[in-house]
Amino acid sequence: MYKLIEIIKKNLKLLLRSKSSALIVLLGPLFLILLISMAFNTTSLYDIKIGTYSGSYSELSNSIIQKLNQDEFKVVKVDDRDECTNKIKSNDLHVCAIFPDDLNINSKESIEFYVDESRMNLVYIIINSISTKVSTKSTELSTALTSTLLNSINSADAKIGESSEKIVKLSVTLSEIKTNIESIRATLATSLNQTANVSLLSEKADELNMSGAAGELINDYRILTNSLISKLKSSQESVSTLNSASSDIDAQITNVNDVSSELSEVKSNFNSIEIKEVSKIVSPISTEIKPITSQSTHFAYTFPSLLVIVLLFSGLLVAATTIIEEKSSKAFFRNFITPSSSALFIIGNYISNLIVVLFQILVIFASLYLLSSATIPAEIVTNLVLIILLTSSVFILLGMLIGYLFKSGETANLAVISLACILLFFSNTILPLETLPMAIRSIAEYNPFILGVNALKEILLFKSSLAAIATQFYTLLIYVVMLIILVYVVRLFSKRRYVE
Amino acid sequence: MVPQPFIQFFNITKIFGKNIVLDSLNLDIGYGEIYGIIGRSGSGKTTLLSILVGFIKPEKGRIFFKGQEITSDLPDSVKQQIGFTAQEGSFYPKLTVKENLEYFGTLYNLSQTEIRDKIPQILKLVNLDKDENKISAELSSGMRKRLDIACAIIHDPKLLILDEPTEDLDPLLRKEVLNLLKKINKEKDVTIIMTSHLLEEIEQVCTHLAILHDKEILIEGTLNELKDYYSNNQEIILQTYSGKYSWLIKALKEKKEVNKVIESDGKLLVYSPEAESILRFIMQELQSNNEKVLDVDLNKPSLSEVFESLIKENVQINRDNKKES
Repeated sequence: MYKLIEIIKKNLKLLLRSKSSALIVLLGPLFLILLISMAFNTTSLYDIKIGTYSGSYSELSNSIIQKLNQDEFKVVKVDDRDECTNKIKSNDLHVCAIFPDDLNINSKESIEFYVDESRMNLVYIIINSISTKVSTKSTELSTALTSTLLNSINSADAKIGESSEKIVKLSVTLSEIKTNIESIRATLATSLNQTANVSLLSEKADELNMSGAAGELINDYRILTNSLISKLKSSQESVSTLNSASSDIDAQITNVNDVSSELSEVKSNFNSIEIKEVSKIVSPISTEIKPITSQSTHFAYTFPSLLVIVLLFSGLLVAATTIIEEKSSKAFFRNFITPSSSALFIIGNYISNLIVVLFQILVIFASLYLLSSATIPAEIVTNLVLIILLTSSVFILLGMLIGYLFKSGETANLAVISLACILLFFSNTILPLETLPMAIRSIAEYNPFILGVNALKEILLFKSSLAAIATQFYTLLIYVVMLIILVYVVRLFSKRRYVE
Repeated sequence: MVPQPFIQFFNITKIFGKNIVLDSLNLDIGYGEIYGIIGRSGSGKTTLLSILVGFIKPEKGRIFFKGQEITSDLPDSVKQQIGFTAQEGSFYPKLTVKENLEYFGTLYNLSQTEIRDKIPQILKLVNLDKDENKISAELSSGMRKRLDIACAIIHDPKLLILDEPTEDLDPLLRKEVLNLLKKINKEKDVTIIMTSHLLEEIEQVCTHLAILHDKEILIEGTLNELKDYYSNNQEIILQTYSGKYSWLIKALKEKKEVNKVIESDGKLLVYSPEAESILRFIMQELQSNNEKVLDVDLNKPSLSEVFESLIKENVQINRDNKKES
């Protein structure tokens, strides 16, 4: 045990007495945390330049530009279409929006957005942000149009109601007229039935063959009856006319009833429209994206990655540097010939490096606390410490492996940077893993960087239990065991190489 | 009864790739000796020491430590009895003198109390007692060498191995280090094995020595034995204007009194216990052959001359063997 403590003490003294190493160890994480917290402590995009071009800007296009010009975007009107797209290539603009000439809601042409697809990490954020802005304007227009439409329908509904009542009254009036006509027709028919009696009376009067006053009277009577018969005969024609009129009125009543029922149907259709709110019609399905955690800035989401990046670089670099320094030191030889096992030196170096890395993590947490008063809930401390220990162990052992494998500091540093880049590239930090081919993705999922980030994310953001991160925990544990064996073998091999 | 050697190399062969560095080497080192191994650069001295400290393994042969054969890796009990200083200082330059001693003392299983007690003694022995808190990198070359020796003896080893201990030191510092070795040998009863190609210092400090050349030990013994052996011979150094000696070598080799004849750098070296009569014979031969003498000298050989002649003799034998084959 004394030996182990002495080896650790010696390693730490050597590290701290080298000014550059001490500076990196102490100030490196502080600097990193300050820089990254300043950079990521927001949810907005900054200084996104949008170029716009149109042969003739309409009121609508100007209103969309005005919308885009708010907040994080800076809109610049460009005089030429090609200039607009070329400025994206030269990074002067992030997006180029081409508006159709005299854009209005009846325009069939669409607004074209040009983006630089090679800036993969930015382009989707910009597209999403611009789409949101344009979609807001589009919704505003839809709302206005729908509102007008609904007002017209409501007005028509009210007028149909009024007209229906009038039509019903008309129908009633027509029915009454028809009844009156029928009555007249019946009276006339009765009168007509008397025509024969009158004719008979007239004939009987003729048969009397009376003269004188009686004859004159009978003559007057005959004239009167003839006139009466004649009028009765003409009334018969009126009855026919009345019959025809009655039939017409029937037809009109039917028509009026049809119109009435059609209006009722239209009204009923209007009434059957359940949703009459403009917002509901414009956007019948409302969506709202709700985060599973409530963090106000990007920093909270990037913190697990930041933590693992610190573990990755400091673990690999510090471990590789201490091993290379140890190997290039003349004292390395004396260490070999002392009655102390190889395992003791490996454990000693591992613990020394672990102390340095954990110190850096402590500095990060302390700076976070001082800068933003962020604290770690007590229930996640154990899991957090376990995962930090495992992840840093993997990177330290990898660094030690590189230290023992390579002869010079330069080649070891090159190997460290290459390995760190590979681990970073095949993680979610630069590109989502989902963009990788399946075969590579299935391998990348075992990347210790990803395992560490995922486990820390679950612990820090969702306060997950150890059972929830069991896969990451055991995979990292297996890595640690495998690397310990590998480091032991490589150290023995490096002894042989040192001799040769 | 012959006392058992402290260290015994038996038939040791070491090969690096296709290069045979040591070939069937045998060597016995006794208790309490200051044993010098001399040889040219690249003669295999460091390899021999590395085998002894268990840093590398020979392809063939056996090593005995206090009569106990070391069959596999050097056991910790043996490592505990060995101290070693390499050509360059084997300590951490960024640690202080005291911290280096504390560190290596702990690695050699000393308790904290033992370390606390030993450090002042060791520092006094190597004359660094006023510099214990100095950063090692800030020490002078002589102080560094003394610190290196201090690191090697912190655990009271029975055997101290030094590979070229005075390399790169000026004559004064060299003398200082050699005196320190004598002091350690005397005061701590430590057997010392050291390598060097500086024969004067071996002559100055070693009680025994071996000459390592062409993968094997040419000769070994106490310094006096070697001197006595070679003091029987006197050395005639002859240089003629023509520089052609083949006829003379042939004539000299017929003389029983002549032990060795070596031609080197235009000179002829002749070893004989009756050097004066041989010198007269040579002068007569030169006169009869009309050879003019440029220079002639008669000496008792020093260690460096012993070394040179042995090496040259060995080279000559090898040449002769090649011609014969």
